[in-house]
Amino acid sequence: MNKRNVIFAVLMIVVFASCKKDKTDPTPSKVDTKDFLVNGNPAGGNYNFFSFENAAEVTQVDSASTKWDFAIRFETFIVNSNASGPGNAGVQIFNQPFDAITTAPSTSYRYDTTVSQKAIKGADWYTYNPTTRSFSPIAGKTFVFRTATGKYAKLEMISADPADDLGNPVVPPTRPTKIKYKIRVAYQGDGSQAF
Amino acid sequence: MKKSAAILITFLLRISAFAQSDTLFNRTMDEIVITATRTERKIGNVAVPFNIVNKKTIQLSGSLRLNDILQEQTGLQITGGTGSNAVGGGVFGNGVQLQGLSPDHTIILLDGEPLIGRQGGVMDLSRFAVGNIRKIEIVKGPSSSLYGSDAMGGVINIITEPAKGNNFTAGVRTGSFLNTDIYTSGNISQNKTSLLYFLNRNSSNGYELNKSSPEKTLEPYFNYTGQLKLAHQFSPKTKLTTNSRLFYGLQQSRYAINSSQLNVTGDGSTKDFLINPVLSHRFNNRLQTNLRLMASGYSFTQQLDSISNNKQYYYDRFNQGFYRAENQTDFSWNTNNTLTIGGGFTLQTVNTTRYSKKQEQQMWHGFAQHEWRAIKNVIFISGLRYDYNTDFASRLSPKVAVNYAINEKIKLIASYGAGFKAPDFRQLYLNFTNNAAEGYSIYGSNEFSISFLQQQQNLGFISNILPSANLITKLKPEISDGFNIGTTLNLIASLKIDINMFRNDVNNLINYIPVATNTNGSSVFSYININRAFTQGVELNISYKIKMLQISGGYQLLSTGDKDLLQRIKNNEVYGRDKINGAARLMTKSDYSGLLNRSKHQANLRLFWENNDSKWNASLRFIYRSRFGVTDKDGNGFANMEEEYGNGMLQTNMTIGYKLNKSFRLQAGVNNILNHIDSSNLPNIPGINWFLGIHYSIKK
Repeated sequence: MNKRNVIFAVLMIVVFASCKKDKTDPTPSKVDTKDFLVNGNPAGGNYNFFSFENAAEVTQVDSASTKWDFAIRFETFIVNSNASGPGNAGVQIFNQPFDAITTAPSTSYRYDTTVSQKAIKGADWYTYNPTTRSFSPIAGKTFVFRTATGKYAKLEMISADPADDLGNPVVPPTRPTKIKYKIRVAYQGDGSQAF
Repeated sequence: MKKSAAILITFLLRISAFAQSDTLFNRTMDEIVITATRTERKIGNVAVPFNIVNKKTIQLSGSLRLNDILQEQTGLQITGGTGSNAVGGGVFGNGVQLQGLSPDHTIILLDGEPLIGRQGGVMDLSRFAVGNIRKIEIVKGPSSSLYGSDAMGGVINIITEPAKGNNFTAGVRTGSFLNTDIYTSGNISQNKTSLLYFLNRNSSNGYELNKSSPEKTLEPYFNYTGQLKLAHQFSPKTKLTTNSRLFYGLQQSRYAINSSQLNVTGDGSTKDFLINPVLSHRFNNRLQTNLRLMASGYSFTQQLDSISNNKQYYYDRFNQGFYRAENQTDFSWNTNNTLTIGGGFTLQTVNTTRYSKKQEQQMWHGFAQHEWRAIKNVIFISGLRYDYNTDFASRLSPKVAVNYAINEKIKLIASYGAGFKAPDFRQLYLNFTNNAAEGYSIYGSNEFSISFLQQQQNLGFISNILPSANLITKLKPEISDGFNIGTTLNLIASLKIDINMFRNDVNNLINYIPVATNTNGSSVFSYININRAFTQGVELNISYKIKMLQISGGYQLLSTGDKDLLQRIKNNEVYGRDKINGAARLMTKSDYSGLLNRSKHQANLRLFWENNDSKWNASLRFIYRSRFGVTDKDGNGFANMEEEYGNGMLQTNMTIGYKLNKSFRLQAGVNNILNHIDSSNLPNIPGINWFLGIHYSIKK
């Protein structure tokens, strides 16, 4: 490769990069911190369904729609696509802090391929202590989602505390009936991949 | 008249001789320690760091249970969880940390024999009354070369009163929370046979530190301790001593589960017994041997029923048996060399609701120790022990130590020892699925197999088997290398300073890892030798005597860590939050706070006073620990945000005692005068509380 080609290549990259920047001019994604109280029974009962667009829970009635992106029961996640729903959602987990993820990747999203082969496994995002029955979301893990409708969002788990029906914390030997999650989410509604 | 005067004088002399040997103020280099070498040695010749708590200190402190007195010793940290246990405080009771190692790494001996009945690795010290204790010897650093498993952080040897003489004591004491203690003990000796008995009843209405909860922090309990010791001198050279102990404790358990009202009730009962005959024979001044037999049992049963419908809500049972035969022979072929050799066989059994069947372990061990006075002021001690067993990997534990007396005032000691802890029962045999709660399962390594997981997968219970499942093999013991280097300074007669530096490197720590995922998303766990940790620090003890006032101060600086976690921090792989809602950031080495439940600073200041005619005595003790990590909320394995710490704690305890006459003495005390409490992190420390007691004793 001669010098001229190198200069040309560098120029092209600069032009391309600046063009791209001009083009996207992202609307900042909407960041929210939310508390959710979800079903604490690991073995049965309903999932709690969430929509990134509204950063809110979606009623059970809409479970067969694309109005939700992911759902949790106890600490089990399902994602709205393939085996779990009619949507087009997918997820991947990065070992980076929430703020450090500035762009959602285009590919490599994972799905629930069967009822038992889920996209998100417990060991991916929390540490569990069977003695104290507490589980701690691992700081610095960020979930990047493609939503059920093909938009992009990111999520970090802040806390997951065993709770009673009213959301008050419980400690062993009292059995939790709910898990109180605190999550931080960012939703990019303009269809771009930038947060 | 002359005769009776002579008797009186002899009697008084004996009393004063007794008082002198029993006093807290006169520690001489001639005092005897047995735990350091398993042979009686003058404290000046011991080459490892140790501490002796004598009867007088226990009495003046007004202690009732073993945890009361041990919590006031430098370098010992009592751990207490929440919940209920048959004799008070803690899911697993009041355990003890030594040199920063957890309660399962310290062996607790009663007259030289290991005590059993650990739950979650923790021996609940409140099971042991202190009224029959002559002294407690605490040896720090690994002593597995003599005692085998669990002697990693150190050895705590509870030495009970010997059976000899004729005497009788009794006492009663009561105080806050209706904490009432009644005891009687006595000795009867005739010719060559002596009998000692001790009986104790301890009870309490419990206490409440968190008023908003309908449950008590410590639920009401009562317990009984009985001891019988029989000694018979067959000849001047041959003696048989049989010690036995019985314990029964019952504690209420009441819970408000998903309710503001108590709705589940029941109780937990703890029983233990032991019988320990020791036959010792002295062939001559150079050779002696003893044969020790031990049979002991422990059981804990807890049942909870629902108040509304009387249906069983929870049931848990744990039974353990321990049987050992051991011989130890000491041979001094000249005044400068002593060889100690020993060996034995142990059978352990365990059965619980959480194991698939009754489990049995057979263990053989042999040990040898050589003590060599190389020159007048230098003693070398070397030892080796081999532990072989049926259920996990065997272990060889060496030890070397040196004692160098530079002069009368300065002594140096240094030692290296290997410690180990056998995998405990749950790590080997647990077979438990928590159907009621999170649905997780835990299997001990001996209960675990890949083919079992595959079978579960075929049945649809397990969704996938993780690659880590292939790592589960026969467990190895947890092992440590411990280094201690210290000095004792007796620069002036009334001032004694002990300084000891220690470092323990612990490998093969056993932890659970997820090996498979259940279809419901919860995990299947099993145990593996995985973690590496260290503890290191400095311990300083100063004691100073001014007339009848004894002042002692202690301080421990402790640093601990998980070596693998530190490596991951170094590799920039570990994140954490500064506040629970804050952003995650990379953790650095300076954010790392060490293992949970360790205080960096621990200090005590203890003043004991007794007036010249021993009529009055008093004590004032301050015990402090700095803040300590209690939980990990951001999943990085250590405490780094404020919410993850328990606050520092200062306890201030005092007593005052008065001798009414030759036989009666009174004692009153107030503990935790400043009323510092922490209901969630230190539930074992009650608020301000008082007591008043009267004691009677007569000697013949």
